[in-house]
Amino acid sequence: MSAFTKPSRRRLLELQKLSCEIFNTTFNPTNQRTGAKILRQPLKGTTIANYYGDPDFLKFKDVQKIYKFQEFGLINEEEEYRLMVNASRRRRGKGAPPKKKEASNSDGKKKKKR
Amino acid sequence: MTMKRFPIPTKIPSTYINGRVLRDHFKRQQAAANEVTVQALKFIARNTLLPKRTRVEAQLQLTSMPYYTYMNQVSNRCVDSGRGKGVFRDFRLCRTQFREQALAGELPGVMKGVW
Repeated sequence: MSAFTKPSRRRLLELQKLSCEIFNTTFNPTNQRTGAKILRQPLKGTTIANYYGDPDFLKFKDVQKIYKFQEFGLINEEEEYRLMVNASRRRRGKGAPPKKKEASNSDGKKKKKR
Repeated sequence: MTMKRFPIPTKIPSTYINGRVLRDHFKRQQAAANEVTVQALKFIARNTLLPKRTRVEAQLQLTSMPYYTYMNQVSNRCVDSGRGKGVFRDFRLCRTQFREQALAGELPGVMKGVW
């Protein structure tokens, strides 16, 4: 008997099992689907949820609120510019039309329902 | 601030706001909140070593979950304009916003190709 004969299948399986025990991997000779693939997937929930940035991120309004009682006034330049343009438009008669009081009283509830 | 247009109140994102952006944001929050449950149910359903009845029950529970808990309902939108197509994943910007901001020098490390 030569030293290079192929070992039996059972012996090979035993070897595989031992190797799995040593390297801490799962022994699954019949290739059954154990769903380990799903457990192995990294959780991506936090990255997906934070895509649009932090919802609690401070806005100009919030900063203004914090320094409400201080002596210095904070001015939102963009808002000021918008108001200025609005006022000039209104002066030229290009502003938004005034709201109808009757319509808002009668159809108010219906409109809200969508 | 939260919004009530969705079945579960969600905070409003701090970036550009748009109906579609809000919807996507809501789906993202829900997908993240339900991620562990979905993965556990998926594991039970795909595990052939478990009894058939458990697996079917898990699969039924999975299919009965609302659409907004699905990870694949989420789509990347432009953070500065809300556009749904032509969005660069690395910058979270659509192609026009990317170009404008890159040319204005607002994106560090991005330079116009010259050769």
